[in-house]
Amino acid sequence: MHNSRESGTVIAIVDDDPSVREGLQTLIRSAGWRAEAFCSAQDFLARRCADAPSCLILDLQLPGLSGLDLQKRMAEGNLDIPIVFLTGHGDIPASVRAMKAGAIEFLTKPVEEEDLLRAIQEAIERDRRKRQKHAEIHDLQSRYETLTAREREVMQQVISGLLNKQVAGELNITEFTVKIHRGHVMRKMRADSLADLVRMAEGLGIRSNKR
Amino acid sequence: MDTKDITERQRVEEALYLNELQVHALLRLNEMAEQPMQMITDFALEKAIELTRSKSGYLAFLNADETLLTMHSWPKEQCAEGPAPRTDPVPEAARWAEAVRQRQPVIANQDAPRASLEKGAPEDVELVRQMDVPVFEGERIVAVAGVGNKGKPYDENDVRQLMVLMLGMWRLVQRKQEDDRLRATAEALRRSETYLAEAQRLTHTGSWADDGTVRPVYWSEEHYRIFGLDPQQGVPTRDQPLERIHPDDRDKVLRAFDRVIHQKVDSETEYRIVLPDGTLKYAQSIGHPVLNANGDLVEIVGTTVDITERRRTEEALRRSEAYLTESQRLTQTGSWAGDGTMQTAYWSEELYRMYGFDPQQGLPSHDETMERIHPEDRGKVYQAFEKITLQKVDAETEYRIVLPDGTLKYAHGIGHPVLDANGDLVEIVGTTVDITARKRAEEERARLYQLEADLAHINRVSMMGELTASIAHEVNQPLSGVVSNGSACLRWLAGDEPNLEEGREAARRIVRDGKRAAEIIARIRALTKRAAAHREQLDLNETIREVLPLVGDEAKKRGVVIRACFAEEVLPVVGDRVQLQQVVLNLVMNGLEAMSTITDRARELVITSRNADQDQVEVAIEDSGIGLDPDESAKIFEAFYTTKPTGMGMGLSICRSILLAHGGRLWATANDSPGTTFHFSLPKATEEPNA
Repeated sequence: MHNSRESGTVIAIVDDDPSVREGLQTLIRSAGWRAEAFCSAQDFLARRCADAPSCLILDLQLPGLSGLDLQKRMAEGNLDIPIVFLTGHGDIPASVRAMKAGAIEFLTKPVEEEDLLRAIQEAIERDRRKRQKHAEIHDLQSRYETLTAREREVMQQVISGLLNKQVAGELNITEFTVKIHRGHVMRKMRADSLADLVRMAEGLGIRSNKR
Repeated sequence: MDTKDITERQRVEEALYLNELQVHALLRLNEMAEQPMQMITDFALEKAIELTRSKSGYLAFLNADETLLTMHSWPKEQCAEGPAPRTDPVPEAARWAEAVRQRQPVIANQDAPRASLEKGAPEDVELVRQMDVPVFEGERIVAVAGVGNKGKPYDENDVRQLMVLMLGMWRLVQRKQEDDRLRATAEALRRSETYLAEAQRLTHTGSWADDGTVRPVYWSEEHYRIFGLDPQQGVPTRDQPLERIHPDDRDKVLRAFDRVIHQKVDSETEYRIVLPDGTLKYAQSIGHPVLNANGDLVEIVGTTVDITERRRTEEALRRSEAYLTESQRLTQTGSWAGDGTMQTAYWSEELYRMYGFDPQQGLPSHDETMERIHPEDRGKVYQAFEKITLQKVDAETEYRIVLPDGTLKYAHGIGHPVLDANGDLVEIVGTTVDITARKRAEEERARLYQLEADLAHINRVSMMGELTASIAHEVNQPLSGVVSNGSACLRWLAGDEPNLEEGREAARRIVRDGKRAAEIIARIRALTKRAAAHREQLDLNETIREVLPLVGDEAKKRGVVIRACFAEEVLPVVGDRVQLQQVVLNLVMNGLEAMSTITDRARELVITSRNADQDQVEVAIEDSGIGLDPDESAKIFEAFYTTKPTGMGMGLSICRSILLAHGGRLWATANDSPGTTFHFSLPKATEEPNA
């Protein structure tokens, strides 16, 4: 079963209790993932690890910096790791806050194996999608970087829904020149259609100049 | 002158001569009163031979019933010396006893010489003529004297001569015997008087006689001594002894005399004697009337005993008895004595009081006593008695006394067997102590102790209640580990190629975590159990460490970091683990509470342990909370004092009781930085506690 997992996937655990920590570590390893365990939020933040974990299993009650505090810190530091919260007692206000802040799941100890693995799986999935999206954007960006300044101006006008003639008017160039630039944009960006280009622009965070 | 005349004249002259000789002999005899008996009889015999012109003779005495003749004197020059004077029975004796048998003088004037008179003595003398005369004392023959071998035949004259001489001799002998008897009697009397005087001196008893008019006629030496009078001055006058009697007692003494004189009965009186030097004596006199045949008083005889010493002894005895009674009253101790049959012979006053009996009514009977012993305890008392009487050893027992009015008393009795030299039981002596007050105090103390223990228990239970969430969390943690490891284990073992190594490792962790959960539960159970104090040797670090997990989650929830800074090795202490853990929990909870409103600084609770000195371990629990104001710090250890809205105010008071009971101390100090530190110290264990 564990063979089916991606062996490179790392799951982080932060819990101050050794029994809990080691139990989770064992269970996660038996499910075929790699597990890294930390006994405090500070330790986790100070980790020196090249590969970001795909999931963080986080104890709500931690000495010093609490689980919710760490979640907040990570959001502030653009550290986007899907979090599965664990708590000793069903603390509803805390769970609501955690979920609102984007947690995958809020589980009560002792956790059901299935619940935990499903939550981890979901976290990994979300992480994978996130990573894929990141890769796509990265690709778009590198393509976008091949555009000349004029081509970027043309692209912006085009995705704003302006006709070539209108673009020419806006940019004070000929309609023909607009057509040439537009052809280059479509080719460099590997866009099949205008709609495709608009989606790419969205992914790149380029805003239309519609008012 | 014819021959007849001459003969006649010669005869008269001879008679005159012999009479003169006899008178002379009798005078000499009379002068011999002081001489020994033998010398007297020898002299009488010598003169008898001479007066009867005999050549030989003897003198023998007869015993009182005239059956035995004993030779007393005989001419030593004529006889061989015998070993002792011969004694012959009268009926069998030879001729010399004939005078006794015939009870008259016997003369034998045969001229033919005979061999010594048969068995008669003196044996060696050849007798040709013989004369024997009995000596009479009234009707009784007391002696026989005999002479023999006169030149001429013996005649009446010789008989007379011999009888007169022997009578003279016998009178003298009698007088001498009388004298000896008198002397012996006088000696005996003198001796017995000495003994009496000595006895009187030793017993301080004087004797006296009175003529019946209160006039002394005789005083013994001791009597003089008692009254301090001089025997040399003679019998005192009527007034002399009276003057020496204490003025207050004189009437009493005279009244006693009156009774003897007029009622003619014995009379006894005690009075005081005051000597001129002021010495005070106590005397006791008894007077006895001596009456004649008509019943008239002849005299009074009596004794006087100096009872001064006895009085002093009695007084001392009375005093010591009074002290004993007093001390028995003060200590509520009664004493008693009795024989092996539980029959009492003596009860002290206090014992009467204890049992509610009246000493005036005399000793209570066995049944009366038993009736006042609680029915349930009677068996115990009998058993104790049996042990003393049968095993002859001390026995003690506690029992209850129930008075008729229902008053209940607790008594502790001890009995001791008194044995004689053979080891036989002579009597039983014992004491009984009224331990009612002690018993009540014990009960009260036990009640208070129980109350304290109950409070402590309530405190622990309520603390556990406060910590329920924290404890649940604390148990949940290892359970969580168990579940995770269990799931993992199943996973490792599933599939075609089970990973046994990993599975075993997971199982091992399951066991470890399960034990951890069990330990926490055991600790909680110990803390909530109502158990009697159990002393054991403890390592304080370990004792504290055991309970910290129980407050761990509570501290986390309150955002408090608990830090333990324990000395590497602390001295062992002796105590009750649960109670000391209760103290730690109380102090930690107080610390957490004190920091609940703190936002401007770290919420930190530091627990330190150290060896304060050679024999003290000190634990400090320091918080960074709101601190105590000086007014409060004085009151915080009082019962029911609390600053918490929901507190009972018993925590610190209980902590302090626990520490005091352990010989330790609890106190609080203000920190230099904000917050308070609670300290407690415990003495080092001196020896292994016997569990």
